[in-house]
Amino acid sequence: MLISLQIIGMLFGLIMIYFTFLYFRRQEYDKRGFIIWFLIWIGFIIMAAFPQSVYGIMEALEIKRTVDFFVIGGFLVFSVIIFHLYVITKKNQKQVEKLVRKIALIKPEKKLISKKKN
Amino acid sequence: MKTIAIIPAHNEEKRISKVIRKTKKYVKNVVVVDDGSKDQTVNCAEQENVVVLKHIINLGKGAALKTGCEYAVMNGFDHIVVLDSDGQHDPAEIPLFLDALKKTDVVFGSRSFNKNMPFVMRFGNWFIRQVNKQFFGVSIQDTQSGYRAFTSHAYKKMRWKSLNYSVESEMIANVGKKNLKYKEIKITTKYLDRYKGTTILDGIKIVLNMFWWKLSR
Repeated sequence: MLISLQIIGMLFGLIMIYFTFLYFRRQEYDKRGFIIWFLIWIGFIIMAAFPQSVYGIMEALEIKRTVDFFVIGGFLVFSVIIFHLYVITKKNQKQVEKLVRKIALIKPEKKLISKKKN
Repeated sequence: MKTIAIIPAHNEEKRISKVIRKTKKYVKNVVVVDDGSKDQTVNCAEQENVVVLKHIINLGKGAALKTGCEYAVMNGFDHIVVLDSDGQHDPAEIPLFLDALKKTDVVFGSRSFNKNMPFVMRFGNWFIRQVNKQFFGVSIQDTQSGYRAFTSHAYKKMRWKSLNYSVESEMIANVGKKNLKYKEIKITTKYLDRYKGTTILDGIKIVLNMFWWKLSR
């Protein structure tokens, strides 16, 4: 059971490395973003292939099963990512609103000026 | 007193011309804020010889109203009247709003709650009315009507953040929080589009937002 989960985990990591590389080639993000995500997926594969590598952390946190460790860890990571995306989305929304309003308010002034010139 | 009528519009090519023509009978200065329409709304409005402010993408009614109000403030207008572009509000009632605005800061148009109004809207309005009364001390019958008038001075105090249909409720919240004087007048309303306007989901979001407005400054 554990081995099949490990294989699924490793395959998932490899697929994500492929997509990370693909989007990097499409210039969706820069080299820094590529390296960060590549290292995250490599770490993921290592942890899936060698679960004993996290036993030290599990002991310190008093977590008995490796699966529990990954579920708790995954939940925490996702929470951080969701929060980070929320902040970015809100920031972008505000900036877009400001920009759209600025464009809307500038254009009629330009029209009036061009009408006066004619 | 300089008065301006602001008409936020989104995909209203069929009705916008008529609404503008009727509005111009009562207010000389009319501004249409096109909120990223994909149809011919902008062309129709421009043909009526009014100022058309264009949002290059759709942001929502609240954002469109705010753009119009910012234009009004920038150009020194004293009184602002806002009405919908779908023809559900009768511009012939604008003088009633302006008359009421002489003695108050904000005037809310209030629809009659008869069988013509869909049940969901009637219930949503009732619920939001109760929350408004408890949270902000503002007691008005129709919390969701978009037919309103206010002074520029009042607008500066109640500038809203809502981009969508929450704008009507945020205005009321700000009226209560800033202690602005308000009055409610009866208006006639036609319901032309059932698929447009506030949905049940919008209603839930509005109520959740009201809790937030109550807690925030």
